[in-house]
Amino acid sequence: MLKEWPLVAFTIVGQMAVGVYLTAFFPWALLAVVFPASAGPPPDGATQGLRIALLALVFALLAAAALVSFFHLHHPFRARYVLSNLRSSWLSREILFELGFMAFVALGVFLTWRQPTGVGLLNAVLALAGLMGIMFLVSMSKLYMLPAAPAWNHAYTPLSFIMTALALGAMATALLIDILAGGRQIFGYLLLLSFPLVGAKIIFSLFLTPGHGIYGSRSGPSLRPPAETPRLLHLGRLTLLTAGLVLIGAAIIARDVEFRAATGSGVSGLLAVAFVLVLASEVAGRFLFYGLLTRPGR
Amino acid sequence: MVTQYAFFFNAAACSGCKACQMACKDRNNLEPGLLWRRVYEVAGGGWEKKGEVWVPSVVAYNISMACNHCEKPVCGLSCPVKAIWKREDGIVFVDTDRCIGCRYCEWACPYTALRFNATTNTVSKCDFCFEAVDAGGPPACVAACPQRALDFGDLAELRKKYGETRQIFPLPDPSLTDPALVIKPHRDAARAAERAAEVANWEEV
Repeated sequence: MLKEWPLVAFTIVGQMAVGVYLTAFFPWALLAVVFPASAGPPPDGATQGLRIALLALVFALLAAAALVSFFHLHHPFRARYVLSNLRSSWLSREILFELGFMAFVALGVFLTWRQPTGVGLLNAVLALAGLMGIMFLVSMSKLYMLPAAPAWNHAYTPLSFIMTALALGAMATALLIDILAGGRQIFGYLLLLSFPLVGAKIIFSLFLTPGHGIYGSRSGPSLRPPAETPRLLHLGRLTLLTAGLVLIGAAIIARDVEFRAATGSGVSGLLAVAFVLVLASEVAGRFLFYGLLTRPGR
Repeated sequence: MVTQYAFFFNAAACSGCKACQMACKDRNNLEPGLLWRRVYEVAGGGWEKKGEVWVPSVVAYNISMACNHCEKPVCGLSCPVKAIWKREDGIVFVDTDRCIGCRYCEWACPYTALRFNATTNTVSKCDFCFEAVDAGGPPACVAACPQRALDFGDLAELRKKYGETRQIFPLPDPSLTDPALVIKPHRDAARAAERAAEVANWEEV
């Protein structure tokens, strides 16, 4: 189970990158492409800087995920062949969509920085990047939904990946916005969005976690050794998520008080601790996930 | 001409001596812990009340299993670098010069036929002793079986000779991969699931 750590890191960081993008850019860019009249005026200098910082964060997360994924390859220099089987391998497709996502995000950074006269091209690039990100998430789910792995071949896999992306993405975006440009209204929205996302994650985990959840899928007879996942990890994950949810709730209340009393009340600090707790729960949950499919032999 | 090589396994005749497993290791010089053919010991059951009498009702049999050189090899379909390929005669090979060692095929194969080889740092599997077969001989496992519980040949011929069965408890649903495998079931296999049978030697396989 522990030897899968590069995949644990790759999937969580990759999903967080998609989540940051989806909460910070994609809906607005898609709206601007579909309904050009809805696109606002070109951004001011501070907003432009914030956008570049968020796009750079997405790119950095994707680059880190790509780098860490090399640690699970035993012949990393042969990775140049990895796009050879796009016809049937979801693993090839996953890498294709990750690279495509990275390329469009990089182009988005460049176009935001250069500020072309029209924002149409930028919005189109940002919308395409979002679609690539979604396909990255879809292919990541599909590659684990193997008919040979009943514990993974279940709706929990894509649901769990989407919830991870959105919950971590919303929290990370809120934190970065607060650090770089405190007082923005969108921080409040993201804070409010994080609460139901983490709450939903708790409910999904409690009921549907394969092998451990109340209605989670169970492995039938097979030639694969029994799962080696300790139940304690499942309980630890639920505890961490609940603690994170309480802190997000506290941050929402503190922000309300802050508005009324016009005093600093440490909202960012609460959110940062909540983020760390939710991230830790995701790590525990992902080890639990990989531990379900034991590799026989060495 | 052979279009799909296949194995036949007679579960009713297998004594679980593991001569096939050792012959495979010997021929392919496999390091300790690496098995291309494994013998699973399936066991279950307990006591059962018949009238006023308690009688033992146990199931126990063995399954010798290697790569089934499937007609729909999901290992190859899932491999991102096309390192797993199928020869004209149906034998499935791993190209160890191309394999990146991501081990995704290990998850994709429901027969757990793909095994990591720490010497080459790639996955590895049964190659049907293709050199021996090409020279007109049998695979090492077939040759070694003292009970004649293993046989090999063209899948269509084996089906004519031994029947169509290709799944017994706890093997996976054959429609997943279309394994080139014919089995003669042990008499206990039909009631293994109801007797809550399990593989009893996980540490070994």
